[in-house]
Amino acid sequence: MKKNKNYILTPQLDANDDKALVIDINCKNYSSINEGDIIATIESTKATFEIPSDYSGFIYFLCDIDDEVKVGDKIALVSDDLKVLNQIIDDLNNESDVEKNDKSPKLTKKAEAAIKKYKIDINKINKKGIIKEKDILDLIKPNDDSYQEILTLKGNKQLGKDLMIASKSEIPHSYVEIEFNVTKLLQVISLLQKESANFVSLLGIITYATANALKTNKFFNSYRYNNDIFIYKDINIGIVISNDNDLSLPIVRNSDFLLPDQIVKELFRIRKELLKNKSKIKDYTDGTFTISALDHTAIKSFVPIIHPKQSAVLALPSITEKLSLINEEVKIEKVINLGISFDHSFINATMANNFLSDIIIAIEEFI
Amino acid sequence: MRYLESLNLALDQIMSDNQNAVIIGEDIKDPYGGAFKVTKGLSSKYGHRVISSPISESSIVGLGIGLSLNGFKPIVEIMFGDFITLCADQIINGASKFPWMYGSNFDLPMIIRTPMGGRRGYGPTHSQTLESLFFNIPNIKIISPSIFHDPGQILKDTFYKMKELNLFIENKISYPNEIILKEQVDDYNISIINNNTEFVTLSLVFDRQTRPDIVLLTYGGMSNICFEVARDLFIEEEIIIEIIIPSLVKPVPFSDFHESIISCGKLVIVEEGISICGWGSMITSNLNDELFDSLKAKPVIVGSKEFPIASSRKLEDKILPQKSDIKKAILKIL
Repeated sequence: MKKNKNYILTPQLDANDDKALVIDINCKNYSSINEGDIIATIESTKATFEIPSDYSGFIYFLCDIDDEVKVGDKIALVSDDLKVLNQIIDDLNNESDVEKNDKSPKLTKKAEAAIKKYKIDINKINKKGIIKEKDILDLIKPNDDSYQEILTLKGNKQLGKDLMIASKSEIPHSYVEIEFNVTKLLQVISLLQKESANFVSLLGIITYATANALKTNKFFNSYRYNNDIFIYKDINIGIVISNDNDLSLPIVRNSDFLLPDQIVKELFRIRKELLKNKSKIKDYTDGTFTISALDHTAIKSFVPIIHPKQSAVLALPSITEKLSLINEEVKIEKVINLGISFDHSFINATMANNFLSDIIIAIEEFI
Repeated sequence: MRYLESLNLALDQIMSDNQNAVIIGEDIKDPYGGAFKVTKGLSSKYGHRVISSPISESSIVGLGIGLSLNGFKPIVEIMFGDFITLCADQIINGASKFPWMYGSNFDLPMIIRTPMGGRRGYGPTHSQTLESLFFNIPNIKIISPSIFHDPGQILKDTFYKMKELNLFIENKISYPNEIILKEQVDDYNISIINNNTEFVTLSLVFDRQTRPDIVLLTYGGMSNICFEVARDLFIEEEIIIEIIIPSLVKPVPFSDFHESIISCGKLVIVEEGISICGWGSMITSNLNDELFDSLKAKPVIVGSKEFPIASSRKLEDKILPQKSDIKKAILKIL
C-alpha cells in the first residue's frame, strides 16, 4: 500500500479500443481486497478482460455494470483506511445531492404546459407516477357538486364548436346590416303560394337573390388563406337551420342555376332524406357561402360567424313591423334587417353594402 | 439479476439435474468461461460434460445432433450468431429433417444458443441478426427472450419440453442488463398475455384503462429500445403505446397479439434484422390474411438497412434501427 487513496483506472486494452463496457463487478463496496484480486471484468471489441487490483485495502466502485468506461477512467477507489474512504465517498455524494433530492413529480410535456397555462402549484398535485395533462385539467375542473349536470359536446356539436373557434381566431369578422322593406315581397309570396303549384318561400327567394348577387360580387364567394384569396367556381349556398336541440347546414349546390321554388324543393328533399336517415355527404359539403336563417324566431338582428373556408355569411333575422308615413298616410310596413358578417381582411364595408344592395335588386327584379 | 447471470444459473441447474445434458462450444471452459461468460464456472462443476471444441461450428452442431440422436440433451454454444451460417447444412439438411426422413418419427431435442445483434462496433461479421435465415425452415423453434422476460426460466422450459431443434437467440446488449421481473417499471404495467405456454408473451402499457394509440410489436434486444421510445413519446406527446414482446420468435404466436391489434388497429413492428423478408414481413402477411379489416393504417416495419453492419459506431448507428426511426414510424401512422 503506497498511499491512503488509490484509484484503479481503465487500462489500454488493445491498439484499437479507447473504451470498454463494464460487464461484471466481482466484489462489494467497502469489502477488503488484496493486491492482484480480480475486481471487475470489462469488455472491448470481441474480448473480455479481467481487471486486477494493484492495491490492497477497502474498495469502492466508481462505475456500475453496463457503464461504458474510457481508457484512463476511474473504475474504483481503494484505501487501507476505512475512515479516509468514507470521507472521500461523502464528498462525492454531496456533489450529487442536489440531483438526488429532486423529488419533483414526473410530468408529460402537455402536463407541464397546462401547469404553466393555469398557474397550478406543482406541490398541490397529489398523484404518484407520471402526471398527464388530464390530471392537471381535473384539478381546475369546477367542483361537480355545484352543477345539476355536466354535459360534454360530442359528434357534430363538438365539430361545430371547433369550427366556430377556428373561424373566430383565424378570420377578422366585421358586420353591417341594412333595412329591407319586404311588404311587397310578402304579398307576392302569398299570391304565388295561392296561385302556383310550386311552393315559394321567403328563404327560397333570398337564397335565389343571394346566388345572383354572388355572381357579380366574387369576393363573397371565396376564402382567404394567408395572403391568397381563393375564388370558388361554383356557387353552393349553405342554409343554417337551427331548432332547440340541433343545427343543420344543408348545401344547395349550384344555387345560381335554380329558381326560388327549385331551391325550396331542394331543401325539402335534403330534409326528407335526413329524417329517413338517408342523408348524402354531398348535400352537406363544399359550401361556398352561407345564409343563417332565423326568420322563424323573434330575433330582429344578429351577427353570424363565418364558416371556415368562406369569406362571408348572410344573416336573415325575423320580419318586424314598422310604422311609415307614405303619402301623408301612416302605414304598417314589414321590414327585415338583412345583415352580413364578412372577412374584413380583404372585404370592406362598402363592398358589403354593395353586395346587400345587389341582393335587394335581385329580389325586386324577381317580383 | 442480470440477463447473463440468469442464463448461467439456468445452465447450472440444467447440468445439475440432468446427467444427459452436455454443453459444447468454443472456449467455454474455465477460466475463460465463453466469450460472453455465459458458461463460466460450469466446467469446474460438471467436468467432461462441458466440452470445449475446436473452431469448427459445423462439427460442433454435428456433434450435438449425434449426441441428441443417442439420448443426450445437448446445448451448443455458437460464439457469435454470425457463425451460424457455417452450421446451416447441419441445421437445415440435418437437424430439422432427420426426425422425418427415416420412416419413423423420433425426437431430436437440442438447443443452439448464440448471441446476435450489434451496437457494439464489432463490425460486419460479428454484429448481425441472422435468425431470419431459418424462418422458413420447418421443425425449428426460434426463441429470443428480452430483458423483460426471465431468460434463464425460458431456457429451462425450452430444455425440459424440447422435442426438436431450438435456436436460442441472446442479444449481446442484453447480457449486462438487469432483467426486469416486476409488474411495473417506470409507471408501465407489465403483464403476461399468454398463460398457457412456456414461451411467455408480455404486454407493456402505461395505462390499462386507456385504449393504446398504437401497438409496438418487437422481440429480443429491440425490446428495451422500444420501451424507451414508448416512455419518450408518452412524456413528449402523451401517446399511449402498448409494447408486445413475445419470447417465441418462430413459430410466431399470432394469437397472443391479435386481440390488441383488433382493439387498436395500428401497428409498428420493430426488429433488429434487415426488415426485407424478416420477422415483420411474416407478421404483416398473417395480418393481411387474418385481420385486414381490423387495421386502421398500413402496418410499418422498422428494421436494419440493407447494408453490412459497419465497425464505425457512427455508421453502425445509421444502419441499425434507432429510437428516432421507431418514433418516426409511429408518428407516421398515428
